[in-house]
Amino acid sequence: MNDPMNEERSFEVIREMIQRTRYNLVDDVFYYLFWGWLVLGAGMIQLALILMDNPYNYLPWIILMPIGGLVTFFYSRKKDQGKRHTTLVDKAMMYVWTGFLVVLLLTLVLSVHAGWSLTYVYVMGLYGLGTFITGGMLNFKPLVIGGILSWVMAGIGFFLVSSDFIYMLILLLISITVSYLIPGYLLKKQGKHEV
Amino acid sequence: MRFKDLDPILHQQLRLQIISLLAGTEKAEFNFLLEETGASKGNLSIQIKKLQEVEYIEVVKGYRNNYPLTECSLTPKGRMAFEIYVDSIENYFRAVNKDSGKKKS
Repeated sequence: MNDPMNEERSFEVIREMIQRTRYNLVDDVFYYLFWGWLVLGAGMIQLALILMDNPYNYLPWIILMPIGGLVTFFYSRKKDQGKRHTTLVDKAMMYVWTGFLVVLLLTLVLSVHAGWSLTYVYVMGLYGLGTFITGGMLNFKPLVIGGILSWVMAGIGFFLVSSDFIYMLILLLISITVSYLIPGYLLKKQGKHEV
Repeated sequence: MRFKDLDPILHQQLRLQIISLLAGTEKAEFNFLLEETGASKGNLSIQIKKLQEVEYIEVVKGYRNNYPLTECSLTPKGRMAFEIYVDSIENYFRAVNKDSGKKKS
């Protein structure tokens, strides 16, 4: 540990230590897959209920989203329990996704006035924003592309606000698939993505 | 570039390890530094104190779940010193590569 250092050794020490503080995006794969499947599941159940003319077709969201919130809260608490350092990327991620959550909740509150169709447009836009920033910052292209495609879905949705609600729901299902599920599985397959 | 041109505070293995770890983090616990550097508690404490004295790092002591908690972070002065140190190393390698290129030709 106290060997005399030359320039080569100094460089090696710096490289080794910086390597140990890198952020591995794969550690977050649970969030993308969990929320991807949860939203996809809730949307598909709602679609089925709408097709069956069930007036309570919104119930999957009311039941599944709070459960998702609780699972995420306890999972992240457990995951971070043994963590003894905070990187600047950790901090940036925390701000991005906390901001995402706050705007998402505000959007859901505003849905009382805006109606569900327009709310879904904003929600798709938000999905895109979260994944676009994360993918750009962590240099993971599938998240960036997923974010852009999610915005495309939101753009298409804007023109379908007055059409049948089912179209909006289908757009939302495509949006969550391209922005969360596909990048999530690509990330899992990659096994490691450090920045 | 010779050793004497490098910051003597940083040109010591354990101190360089601490600063390099902190350069990649916003803050790090004492135990994290202990695990990652493989140093002894006593030696780590001494080097942290030295780095704190020259204002390269900031040390905050507190408690978590009733256990003492020491957190370290890099100060702007420390980050600047680290950047200068890394630049010096890079310049050294550039000079070495240039020399070896000349010898080959």
